[in-house]
Amino acid sequence: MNALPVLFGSTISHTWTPGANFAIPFDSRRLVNTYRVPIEVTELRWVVKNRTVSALGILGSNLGLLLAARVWSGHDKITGDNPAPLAAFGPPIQACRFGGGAAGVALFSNGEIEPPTVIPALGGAVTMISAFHFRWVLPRPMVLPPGEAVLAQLEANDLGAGIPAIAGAPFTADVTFSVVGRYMATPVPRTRWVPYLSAYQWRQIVTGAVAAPEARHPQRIFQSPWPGKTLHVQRFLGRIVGIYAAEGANIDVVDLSAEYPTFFGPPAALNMRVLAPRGYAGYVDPIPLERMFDVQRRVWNAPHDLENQQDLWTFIYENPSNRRLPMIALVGHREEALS
Amino acid sequence: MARIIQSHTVPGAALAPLAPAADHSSGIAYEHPVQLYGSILVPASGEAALRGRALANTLAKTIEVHEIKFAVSRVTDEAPGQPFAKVSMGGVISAHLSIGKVPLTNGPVPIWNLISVYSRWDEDAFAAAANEATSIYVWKLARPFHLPVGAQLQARFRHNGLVRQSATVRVAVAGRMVNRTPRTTFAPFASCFVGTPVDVATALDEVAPETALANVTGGPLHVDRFTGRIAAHEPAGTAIGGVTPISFSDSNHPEMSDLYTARLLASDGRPIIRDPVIFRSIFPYATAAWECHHIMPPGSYYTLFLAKAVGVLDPYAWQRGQSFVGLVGSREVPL
Repeated sequence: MNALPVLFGSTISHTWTPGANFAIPFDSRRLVNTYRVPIEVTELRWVVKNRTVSALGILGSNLGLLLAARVWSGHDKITGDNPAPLAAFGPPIQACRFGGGAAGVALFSNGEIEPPTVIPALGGAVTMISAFHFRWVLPRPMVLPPGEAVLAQLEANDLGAGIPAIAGAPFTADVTFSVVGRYMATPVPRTRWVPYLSAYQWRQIVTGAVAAPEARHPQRIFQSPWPGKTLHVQRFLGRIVGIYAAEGANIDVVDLSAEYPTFFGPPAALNMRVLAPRGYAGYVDPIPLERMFDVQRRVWNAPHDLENQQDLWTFIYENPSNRRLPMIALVGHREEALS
Repeated sequence: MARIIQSHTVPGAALAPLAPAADHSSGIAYEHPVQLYGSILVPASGEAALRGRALANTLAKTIEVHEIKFAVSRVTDEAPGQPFAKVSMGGVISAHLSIGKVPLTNGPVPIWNLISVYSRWDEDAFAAAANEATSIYVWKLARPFHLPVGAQLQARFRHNGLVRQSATVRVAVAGRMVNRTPRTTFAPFASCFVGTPVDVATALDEVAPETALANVTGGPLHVDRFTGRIAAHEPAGTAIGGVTPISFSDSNHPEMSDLYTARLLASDGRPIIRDPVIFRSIFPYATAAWECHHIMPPGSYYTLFLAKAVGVLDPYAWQRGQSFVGLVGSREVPL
């Protein structure tokens, strides 16, 4: 508790094109424990800066929804089978977006609540800087032995070919991934707690009215996939990714969960149900997504244990538009042996 | 019946939550909440000390202090409709605090470096011309400290001259009375490095001196957090002494902070931030602080390496940047 803190991180600058995607790894030399003593990792942080300079594209978007990461340490996966959108790494109370808007208008926000931005032309180009900060305070600190790294790779979050305007819109971002913790005064223990974040982004849901079919994620998304190990679930996190035409030819991708309820109309038609493992009764009946998750933090604290191979299932009903895509994440931790 | 002193209500500042009325294990009984209050006008580029016994404990019982609140006001003189007239006065005014011979700050420390952000909305002061704009900061103490009967919090404030208006600093010390004075208490302590103001188009490498982020208390310091801000300020309006920015804030154009990276080493050589990391990754915008409780040995210090990259000047970018990095904690002192 009283040991010296540490922080180390790495930055990627890259132009991504959704739909033509490949993963970019962070520099592992910056993410390895060279401190000669074990480190207790307490937080993982992301800072995303939108460097897109273009008259077209996704200038006003929340890049935490458009970028996704795989994170692991040694043999232990920290993210699940799917890359986790960066917005799943922290409740938005820990995130921010800001940017320089039109002349004389400064735009910033503590959350991700941002009105569509009118971008001024400066010298013939369009400029915009926005930044997002996502901070994952781990459910339990993770021991990082000397010489071991927390590795991450980044890719564009695939929102599906059903969103053609997004599929071809390149964007440039600087993404910094940081590991925060403290020196440990004790030797490397035999086991450690490894955090786990498994997220699923619905790509396309049939547009339709009340009678639209339910949509379900694949198996293993919300599961304890390690033989003989229990996953201690801490919380769920849910967001509604909204895609809309913005100023000019821009397309904005934002989190609609609690934003602009009057501008966009209530997203209440996106109903969700969670089923417990193996025939147990449903955790909840179908309820609107924005009611299932805390409006401010998009979080549902639901501490419980998932035994090995047990699944949770989530269903989405009654989606009114294919421009509203739910994203659900599960956050927990499990115990792993250290070699 | 003890008095409740609250001579002035500080907007936006709440009383500390109250614990049970008695701690039966120690025999301490908690009584009424109490708030001491004082204010002083600090001239532009000048200094002023709080006079009299405004922040003295003139009650019959020891005060257990939970938070120190600052409300810093200026009277704006921007032209109506002028953009970017945004000032966070906590970066303009530094506080030098002590109780008798016990220093609470290592020299003057900018007020915004005492806290993790309480409310961005309350920090950035907007107002129409000729109205008072107030920035509010609440230093919530990780451990309460005790102000014995007769003791006084002495406060001196310094104006950095980077906005042209004088400032009225209002200080409120909030806590509650206790019926017993402990033998020791945890006195808060803050120290800060203030970097060189530099144009956005100029690169800069700086190293904080060994005296800046230092534990000069003579005992182990329980560090609660590092605090970090990058001020962006705009040379505009009427200049005094060459440059007088009309705006001074770390939130309006945070792209200034994108230009900064930092490394941090302990004085025993151990790295805290091993490689240069972008400033915002260390100090999130939402809090401007890195909460990292640890103990800093007496006489030790941290060496901060800051690098600022060259930015691009455009008509809307703020023109100068300045770094502020502090550490905040507490140490045990006898009463």
